[in-house]
This record gives sequence, structure tokens and C-alpha cells, in this order.
Amino acid sequence: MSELRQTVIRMLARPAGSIGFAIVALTLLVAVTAPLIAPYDPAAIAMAKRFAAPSFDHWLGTDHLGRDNLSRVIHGTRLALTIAFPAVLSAFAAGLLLGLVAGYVGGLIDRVLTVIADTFLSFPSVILGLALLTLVGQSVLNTTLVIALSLFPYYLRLARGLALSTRHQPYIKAERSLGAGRGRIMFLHLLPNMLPPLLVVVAMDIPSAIVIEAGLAFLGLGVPPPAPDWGVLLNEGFVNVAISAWPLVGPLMAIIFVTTGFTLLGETFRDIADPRLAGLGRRTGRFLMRRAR
Amino acid sequence: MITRRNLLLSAAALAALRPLGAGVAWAEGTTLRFGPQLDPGTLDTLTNVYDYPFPPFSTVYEGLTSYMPGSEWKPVNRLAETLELAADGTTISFKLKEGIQFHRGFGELTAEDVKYSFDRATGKVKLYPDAAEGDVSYYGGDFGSYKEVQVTGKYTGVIVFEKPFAPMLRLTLPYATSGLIVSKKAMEALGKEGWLKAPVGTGPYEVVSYTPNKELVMKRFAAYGGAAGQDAKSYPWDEIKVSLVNSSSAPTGAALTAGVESGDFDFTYNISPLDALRLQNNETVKAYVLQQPMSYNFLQLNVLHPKLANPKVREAIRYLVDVPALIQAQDLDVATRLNALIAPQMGVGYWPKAPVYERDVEKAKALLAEAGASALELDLSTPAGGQATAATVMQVIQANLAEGGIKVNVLLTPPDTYIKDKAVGQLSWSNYGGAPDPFYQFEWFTCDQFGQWNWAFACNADYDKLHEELAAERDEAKRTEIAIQMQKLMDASLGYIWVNHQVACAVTAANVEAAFDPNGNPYLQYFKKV
Repeated sequence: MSELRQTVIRMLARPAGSIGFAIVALTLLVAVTAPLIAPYDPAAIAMAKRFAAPSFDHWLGTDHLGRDNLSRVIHGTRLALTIAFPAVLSAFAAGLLLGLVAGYVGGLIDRVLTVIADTFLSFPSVILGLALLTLVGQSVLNTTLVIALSLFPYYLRLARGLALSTRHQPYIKAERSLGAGRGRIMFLHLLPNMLPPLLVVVAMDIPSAIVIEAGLAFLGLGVPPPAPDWGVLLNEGFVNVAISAWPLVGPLMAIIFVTTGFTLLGETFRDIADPRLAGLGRRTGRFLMRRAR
Repeated sequence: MITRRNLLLSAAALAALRPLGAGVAWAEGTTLRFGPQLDPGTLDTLTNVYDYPFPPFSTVYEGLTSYMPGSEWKPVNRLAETLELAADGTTISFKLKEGIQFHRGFGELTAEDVKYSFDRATGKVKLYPDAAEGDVSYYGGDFGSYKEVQVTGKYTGVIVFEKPFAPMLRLTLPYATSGLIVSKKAMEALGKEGWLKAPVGTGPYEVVSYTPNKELVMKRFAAYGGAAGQDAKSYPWDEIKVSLVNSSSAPTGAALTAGVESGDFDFTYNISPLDALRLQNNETVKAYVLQQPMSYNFLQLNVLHPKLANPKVREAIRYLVDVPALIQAQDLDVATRLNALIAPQMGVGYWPKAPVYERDVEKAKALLAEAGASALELDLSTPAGGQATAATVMQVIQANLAEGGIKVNVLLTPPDTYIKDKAVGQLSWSNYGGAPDPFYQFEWFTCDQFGQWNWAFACNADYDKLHEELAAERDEAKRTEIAIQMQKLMDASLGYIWVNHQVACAVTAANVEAAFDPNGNPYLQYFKKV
């Protein structure tokens, strides 16, 4: 517990960390309290007030159906996180477990799991998402699963690499010679040592998941209406941009704001968790994969 | 725009003139560049997806008659010099203008070509000499009880029907692509592949190249025999280029108008009404808002679906839908509300006393309670490639029905078969293109249209019988009577909620004046440089 507190304190001590932390905290607060702080029902249509410019009643104006832009962005925050968190966490859990097994057990299981992961990796996330969502249909659950599917191979390859490099460490060999079983070695000894670098990737992947989801929705394959998805708001705003640019402002700022926040937080966390990686760019996972080989 | 006066003048000139023959001196050479349009799928008159005189069908081919730009549905003779309907309505005698040439040296138009074209449309001869199994005409229905064309001379013939078929003169000959005349000789010489690459008609423009989903290039037909008579002298374009896209890559919104605004195109059709409104203040372009009284938007309710089988539920939905809001959601403050299928502009078949259902949420709730329908959840979808505003409209329907306690799932990308499956489809937002004869308008709601266009799955033997009577009846007052009865049956079926006539918007460069038929279809050859 004290280690966690220490990590948090060290993160907040850095400017990027404190800014990231503040943005993420604010985002979470907005998401949790969305129904309380949104001035209007995000789906309430008012045809008489279409494309209104910002005013005291509608701080960010209204969209093509007279819906309040601000309320839609606020509710969209909740939706974005509702999809991004479970998607990344389930990708992380599945990738970690399968990667650990593949790396430690090796052999046929390793080869099969690696081929599966490589197959998914060969598709760009959005293309894979488009194909799968066309097959299974649009819903919050399906979008979450599709994003998780597109992210889990990274975790699998990363976890496998870490397991491979750790299994030959003297302390693991010692444990094995003491007669410890596979399960005990994997979950008690390998796992705790693999978590920090993986958690860094989790923090960095939240914005990726948000952007993938918004991208799918922008292309018309996200969460079905009337959900105020940021990607949908961008799409609708883009179609009518010549009439009014205000519907675009909210979702655009929200995506920039939230992805910046999570990225700053993730990068600070990475610097603290593994100083060797400090200053490296995004996609730490890929770097680690290469390192693991 | 072509005024009614101009229209009458040119029609009078047409009637007076003999064909002009080849070698007409043309005005300065220019190219008309037509911005992104949906690919018609094929340039064949019988398998394209348009089925109405949209370019290239209005430029490459001609029929015995055609409508003219303007606002009146008054056919004028094109290839036909005379056309006469027999008193009993079962035959139409025609005499062709002499000396009319087909493109690319395929010879003179004769009555044999008319016979071949109509036999081909109705499946009496193969679609191509080397037709594959699936190559069939989509539009045989446009010919009713067509029996044959009796060729009585090089230029004369008689179109024979089993029983009278009134829509032939209003719909098939002047409007439908199936009524256009193709060259028998060219078809036999070119075969399917050659034909589809560059088909051969008698129109003022011939196909230079056609690259699906990319571009169609047409050039002025030098040996144009002049079915359009004096008119053709004033066609200012040496070349017409149409940029083609497929429905999934079709640009929308400002992206569609950008080409004209930047000067890359001279004309773009089907821009959004909001863009048309915006461009009205732009001096470098000209925006057009065109009523399309034959085309209509409506909601179909699958009467066979268990969730909608109770008429009270369908009635409740009718009271929940806010029709004016749906029209507004299409950005169409200029659109006319539709109370029944046939528009007054049709001239025949209009039902002036059609009921106008005002929104009444309380009444709807009471009806739902009577029907015992609680926690009702319905799917609403529209076919892919529909109108750009479909998603917006469906969200308004969703919000409307939510007020009555019905949860609506909007399916933006349903599988192709979804709507057409009577066991699956529920609510369908539908945008149908129409044609200037009530027979055509009613055709899509007969029992044998299940799985095709009748997505309400309302089948009524009386309706089908009346539809047959409508085909045979020539007296316009009696046709209107029949059409009103049919619209009453549709109303009673509670399978349809009528919303509005469509509106098409277009934009041209400031120095181009566009011309449209009474349903808002562009006639490119009549576009003028100003």
C-alpha cells in the first residue's frame, strides 16, 4: 500500500504526471456524475433550436436535432470510458494469462497462441473492428469486445516475452528445483514481476481504445444511436460543418483532452515504473517485445 | 431554368420540324463536368438501378416519346413521328421519324429495333445474344400485358397488348429506361461485353468510355439524326463527363459541393438541402431546390411481425410519429407533407381528402394499453446507401416512439436481407423513387412484392385487383377513383406512415444553367452556358 502511495507521490511530483492525473481525475468525475452535471437530456430533440450558437442556455450550442452539445459531450465521456476501460482491462487480463502460459509452458501451446496473436496483429485495429462489427452487429458490448480483441495480442506477445526472459532467471530455477508446480511458479513468481511493464502499457492503451472506438463510430460502426458517442458526434458535426462548427468543438476538445491526460499519466507511470525506458516514445509494448526476443 | 413558355415553344418547334440530319454546325466546344454520382451499376437500360431518365439514360438513348424539362408531365414525340392509341386500348400504332442514326455507324433506326427493344425488355428475347443465366430484364413489369410489336413497314409498327395497358403512354415510353430503344444490329455485333462497355443508342451523346465507379465520358454524336429536332442545335456541350462513385464511397455534405465550389465540376446533384441553402449566398455558384413530387419518404410497418401484428400497436405508432419533425430532420423546410401515396402533381390518382394524422401521444399510449403492449422494443432500419439524412430521421422516430414507451433500436447497418425478410424486418424508413403514373406508384405494394419492395408485408387481394384495373383503365377520372380506393386500403392496413415528397438539391457553376424534368431529374443536354 505504501508502495502505491509512494508511486502516486512520485508521479504527482512531475509536472506531466500532475497534469495527467488532474485531467484523468476530472474525466472520471465527469463520467461518474454525467447525469447530474449535464444540463439537458443528451437525447432530447428540439427541432426549433437546431444549430444554435453557444448561449447561456447551451454553452456549446446545439446540434442538427437541437440537442445540447455540452450534454452530449458529457454523456459521451461516460460512454467512452465505459468502453475503453473494460476493453483494455479484458485485453490485458486475457493477454497476460495466455502470454504467461505460452511463454512459460512453450511447445505446441506457445506456437498455437503465437499464431493466433499474430493473425490478429496482422490487421490494423480499425479494419479488424469494422470487419467484426459488421459481422456481429452494433452494441456497446460488441464494440468493447472488438476493441479488446484488437488489443489483446499486444499483451499476449508482451507477456510471453517477459515470461520467456524470466523463466531462466536463477530464482525461478531455484524454485523449480525445490519442487514447485507450474501454477505456483507462474502465478506467484512470474506474474508479479511482469505486472509493472504491462500496467504501463494498460495506461497508455486507454487513449488508444478511446480513439479506436471513436474511429469506429465515426465510420458508422460504433454504438447505435442515440448514444452520444464522440465519434458519432464528430461524424454528424463533420457532415454539417459548413452550417455550424459548434457540434464539432465539444467532441474534438474532449478527445484531445482525455487522450492527452491518459498519455501524460501513462508516460509518467512508465518513467517511474521502469527508469530504463524513460524518454522512449509510445508503443512501449512493441519495444519490450523486441527486447524480449 | 427553362420556363414553361420556353417549354411550350420548344415543344411546338419539335412538332413542326422534320429531322435535321447529320452535319449540324455546333456552338463552341466545351465539356460539362458532372460531379460525383452513384454508379448506375450498368449502362444497360434494363438492368441499371436508376430506372428513370437520369444521365446517361437521358443522353445516350431515346424513346418513342419523352418528357421535357419544366414542370408539366406532357410527353412529346422523340423517335416517333406519330403515335396512336386504338379506341379499345389494346394497340398503339407508331410511325418512326426517318433517317435517325444509331451511334458508331450501326445504321438507321427501324421498327425492327423497336420490336427488339420491347421484346428484350419483356424477356421475349435474350437480354444479350450471349446472355448468361442471371441476365434478365428487371423492368418487364413496365410493359403490363405486352404481347408483341407487329412490324408493318420499315418505319411503322403496332404495339399489341393482351388487354389495355394505360401506363404505357405516361410511364413506359416517355419515362422508364425500359422504354428506350437500342440497336438490334449493335447488340448482335457487340455481345454482352462490348455492349456493357459502350452501349449504342440514338441519343445526342454517345459513350466514349465507362469505368464503373469512376467515370463515364460521353461525346456529342456527330451524326445525330435529331429526334429532338431543333432543340439539339442549342446543346452547348461537346463532351459530358460524369464522375461516378459507389454508394459506400459517396461523399456527403460539404465534400459533395466542394468540387463545384472549387471549379472542378460544373454541376453536382443530390447535395444536402442545408448546403443548397448555404450556397444561395455564394455568387460563384447557383443552387437549385427541386421538388420531386413522384418520389416519397415513408415508414413501413411490417404487419406480419408478431410485435406489430396488432393493428392497435401500429395505430399507436402512427399517432406517435411527429411527421413535421421528420420533414425538418431532413432539412427540408420546403418539402410538402405526404398524406397518401399519390401527389397532386401526378394529375391523376390524387386523394385530396386523405386523412392527416396529427401527433397524439396520449391517444397512442391508450391504444398501446388496449393492445396490452408494454415494454415494446422494435428495430428500425433502412437499406444501405439510402439518403444521407436517414440516420437523423431514424433518431427522431426513436425519440418520438420513446415518448410512448416504445424502445427503438436503430440499426444503421442491417444485413441486405434484413428488411426484405417478413419474419425479421419491423420498421423500415423507406425512400422510394417514383414515376409519373399511379400504376407504377402502387406496383411496389402488391402481394407479389413480398421480399422485394413491399416491406410492410400488407397483402390485400382487393388492392391487387384494383391495381390490375388501374392498368387497364384509360379514363383519368375513373383511374383517380380506383387510385383513391387503393390509397384507402393502404391507409386501413396501417402498414404505412406517409411523411413527405422528396426534394432534390443541386448546384451548378454560376455560368451554367441547369434543366430538370418535373420530378427534378437533370437533363444534361438542356443545360445552358450563360
